[in-house]
Order: sequence, then structure tokens, then C-alpha cells
Amino acid sequence: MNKSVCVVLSLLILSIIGGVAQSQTVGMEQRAVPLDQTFDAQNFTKLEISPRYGNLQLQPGESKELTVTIKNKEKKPITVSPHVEVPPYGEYVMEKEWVTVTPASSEIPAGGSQNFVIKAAIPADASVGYYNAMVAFTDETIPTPYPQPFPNYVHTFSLSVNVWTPPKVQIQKPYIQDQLEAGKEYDYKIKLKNTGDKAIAINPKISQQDQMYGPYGAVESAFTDDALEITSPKEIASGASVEVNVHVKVPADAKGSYRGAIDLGIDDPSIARNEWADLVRLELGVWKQPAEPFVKTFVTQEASPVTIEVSSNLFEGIYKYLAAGGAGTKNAKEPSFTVTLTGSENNAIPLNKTKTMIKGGVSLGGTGMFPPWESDSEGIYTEMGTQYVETYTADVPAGNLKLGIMPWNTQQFEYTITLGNK
Amino acid sequence: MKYVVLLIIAAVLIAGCLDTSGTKPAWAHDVSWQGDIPKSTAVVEKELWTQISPYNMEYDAVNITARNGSNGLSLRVAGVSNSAGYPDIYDFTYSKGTLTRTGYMLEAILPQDREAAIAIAMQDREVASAGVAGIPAVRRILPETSKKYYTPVTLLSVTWQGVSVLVDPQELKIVKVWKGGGTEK
Repeated sequence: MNKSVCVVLSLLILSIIGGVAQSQTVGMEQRAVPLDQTFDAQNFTKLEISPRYGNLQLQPGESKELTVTIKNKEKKPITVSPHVEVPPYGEYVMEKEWVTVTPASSEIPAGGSQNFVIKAAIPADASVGYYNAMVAFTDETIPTPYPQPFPNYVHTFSLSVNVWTPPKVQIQKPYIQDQLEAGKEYDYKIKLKNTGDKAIAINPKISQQDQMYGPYGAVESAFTDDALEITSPKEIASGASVEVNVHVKVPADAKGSYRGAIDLGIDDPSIARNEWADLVRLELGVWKQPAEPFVKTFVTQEASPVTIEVSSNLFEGIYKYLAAGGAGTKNAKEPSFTVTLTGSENNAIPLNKTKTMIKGGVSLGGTGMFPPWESDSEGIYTEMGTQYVETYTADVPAGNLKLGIMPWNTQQFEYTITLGNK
Repeated sequence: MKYVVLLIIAAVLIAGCLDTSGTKPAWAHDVSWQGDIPKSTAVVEKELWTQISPYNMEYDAVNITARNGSNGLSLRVAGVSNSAGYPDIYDFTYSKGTLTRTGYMLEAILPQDREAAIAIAMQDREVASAGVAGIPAVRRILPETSKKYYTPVTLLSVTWQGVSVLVDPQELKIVKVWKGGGTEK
């Protein structure tokens, strides 16, 4: 390779490298985002704020204090001057004067910490509602490409306050749960007491808030709202109690269950923003007694003793316990069975009821069964459900036999047929 | 006569200063022991009265079942009230003169207190929307446990299948909500 060729090749390589370098520079310039550059260029003061959020539930006239700790992570002292900012939006707008911060200012040495006490004091005439405020410990804000209605402060503590008052009307029992029979009528009373100093109007009616839903949408109910009739006074005098009467006329062909709610329509500002607060829930299961017994046909090859066991479902009992807390329902009854046995000539074979057994399910708790605050109850027996087992014996001839079981007050049952001596 | 009066006054004062904590409190009516009954029941009871108490009621019966074990004496104490449908149950161990509570399930709650707690729990939008069904279990939570979740006060836990609400009965408000599967807020 001669010298001139080497020079040409070197120039060529240099031009390629130069071209790549130039294209990279252009590329970088094209990717640059002014906002990021501005944001990165900001040298925000490094302050550790703990906690960053606080939530208080206070009644009008009450106050409460929270402590927030600011730690200076800089290598120089920082002066912190907290000020309260209230976003000009939200359900209710808090007054700045409701929140005070002490000390008003503090110089925190490098690596040092300072506690600030944030006090929220709610005036006696404040409306119930959710309020928000922010304590900004510095004036530093995060720049935004567009004007913002409210500065985006960097060093903040967010405070939310739920201002509430206890309901003036007490609902003695906010639910009605019962087991009904198709074709029968039932009456329930909802007792209300006005603890306020003024009469309060009520207007109970069926609510559409608490409908039954399944995986494919609304679930068909055992009966429609027309089956319920509600009568009540129009208002509750101060200090007085009244009864709302609910009459349920269960259609003769009703099956399944009815789940709904009565909106009491209580004119009480303290519950006005909680649409669930004056609902009385209705959970009414409709028990339809079968007209015919369940029949099981079986064959015996030779004359022999037979033992028949019929039992209600333990899991049904467990479900009922979990749902009903073991308290049961007003009209629920104990399960029982009417058991018959007939031979091939349709002749009744006498059955001897030899025993009735009550079987229980007991739990000692365990992970996930109870909420964490009930973990101390682990290891203490909790009866979960009860199963009723009836045992019958008979001497049967060879041939076809029919076992008839009529269940009473149980949705599910099991049976066993044991041929020969048990 | 003057000395007699002084003696009576002194006797009354001394009696007032005596430690009466070993005596049965007024809220515990009949106390009965069964199982491996220790000789020092009075000593154990003295400790017991400082660690159990009924809630807005009196115990008509306090049944204590004792069992000797490798870690000392295990005690199951059931406080029963005719006013409540369920008992309060406490578990303790007693060893070297120290009574340590190891568990409790307190369901002796007056019907009106139960209903009030349920009413508060059901007013929560999240609980209502969770579609809880039926009558829940209501259990008393002692301040020692409450302080982990709120403040050291007596709370009531209202529990349906998979949903539980911790209620402050004094403040008439919900403290925490738990949904089965470990969700807690």
C-alpha cells in the first residue's frame, strides 16, 4: 500500500467518524425536551417530610394536632417557613385559619430535624363534609409547561379532614333478615328515635340502592317490591320514637330470596352525604316446602336389616353461621325429616327411628379467617354450624324398595343406606 | 369513751388503707373453679380481677377452668351474663406468680350495643357496597389490641363473612375496614 493510498484511507475513516459524531450531536439536539431540562436544572432543597399525609375525623368545634417531622438532608442549614394552602376546589373548601402550624419558622441545621405541630380546629358552625388543605414548608414549586390554577409545591404535607356529626335519628336495627314461607304474610317494625332538639321529617320508601347482582348482572328476586307495604308517620318529634311498619305479602309462587333496602328518607343533614346511612337492608329468604318427598329406589338381593341415615347439610349450617353470626333468624326453624320406606307391593315397611344426632363444626380460627384485630381469638373454639342426623333401621325383604324423604326447614340434605348389620 | 371513738376512727382508716384488690369485684357474681384447681385460687383471682372486666354489664357467672401444663397453669375464664347471648372468653397462663393473658374472644355485649355497632358499620359506603349479608358477629377488642390499629380504647369488631369493620363505640365512627384476603384500610 503506497503513501497516497494510506492518506486517502485515513481521510475517509476520519470523515466517517466525523459524520457519525455529527449525526449523534444532531440526534441529541432533536431529543432534548425543554421541560426535562428545566426540571433537571432545578436544584430542589432535599427535605425529608414524614408523614406526607394526614387524615382527621372531627366534629364541628373539635380540634386535633398532628406532628410532622422535617429532616434536612442538605449539607447546609435550611430555613423552613410553613404556610397553609387550600386548593380552591373540592366538595367543601376549608378556611386557611382552621389550620395552624407551629413553629412558624425554623432553621434546621444540616442533617438535623425539626418537628412541626399541625393543628386543625373546626369552627362550631362548619358544615359536615370532606375538606382538604396543604401545608407547604417552602415556596419551591415544580415547574409546569402550562399555567396551573394552584402551585405545585415540592415540600408539602397533605391534610384531609372529615367533618362529621353523629346522626340525630337512631335506627334501632338497620336490617331485617328472615326466612319466610311462600303464600304467608309477615310484619316487621323499624324503630327510630330522634335524639335531636327539633322534629325531623322521614319519608320511607323502597330503595333502588341495594339490588341483587350476580356475575351476569341483576339477579331475579323471589318477589317484586310490590309485595312490601310501608307505613309510617311523616316526622319524629324531638326526643320521640316512632315505628316504621313493613308488611310483606309473600306470593304463593315465590322462590329464592329477596334482597333490597328501605330508604328511610330521614331529613338529617348529618347523614345527607352518606346515601347508605338511612338504609334498612332486607334479606328475606323464601322457604318453599316441597309437596312431594324425595324418592330413592334401591334393590336388596336378600332379606336383611337396613340402616338409613338422613342429615341436613353441615356446610349450609356453616354458611348460616357465618352469615348470621350464630344468631339465627326470626322465623328460622330446626331442620327435620319425614322418612318412609315402601316395598315392591307398595306396602309400608315400618322404620324404627333409633337416634337423632346433632353434629357440629368447630373452628379454632386461623390465618385469613378473622380480621387482624381479632387474632387474639385464635385458639378459642368457635362453633361454625350444626348438622342434624336422623338414623332409622328396618328389616326389609328382598326386592325393590323405595325410600321417601320429606325435608323440613333445610335446603339440602344427605342420606346413606346401609344394607346388612351396621 | 374518747379513746373508744379514736380507736374506731383508727380502725376505719386502717381498713380503708388495706389492700382489698383480692376481693371479688361487684361485677363478678358467682365464681367457680374446675379442673386442676390451684391451692392459691385467691392469689390467682386477685390478678384475674385486674385483667378481665365486662362491657356495660355484670358477669352473672365467672367460670374458671384450670389445666396444669409444662408452661405452668393454663386458665380459661368464661364470663357469662344473662343480659348477653354469648360469653366473654379469656385465656391465661399463670406461672411463678404472673398471670399472662394469651388470648380472648369477647362476645358478651348487650343487644343495644351490638345493634349500635352494626348500625355504624353498615353506614360505611364500602361495607354497604360489599354486599355483606346477614347478622354479623360482634366482638369486643381490648385497648391493648386497639392501640395497634387506632388508640388504646375499647373497640367493637363487626364481622361478616370476609368483611370486618372496627368501630369506636364512643366516637360512633369506623376506625378500620378489613376485607378477607388481607386487604386492610
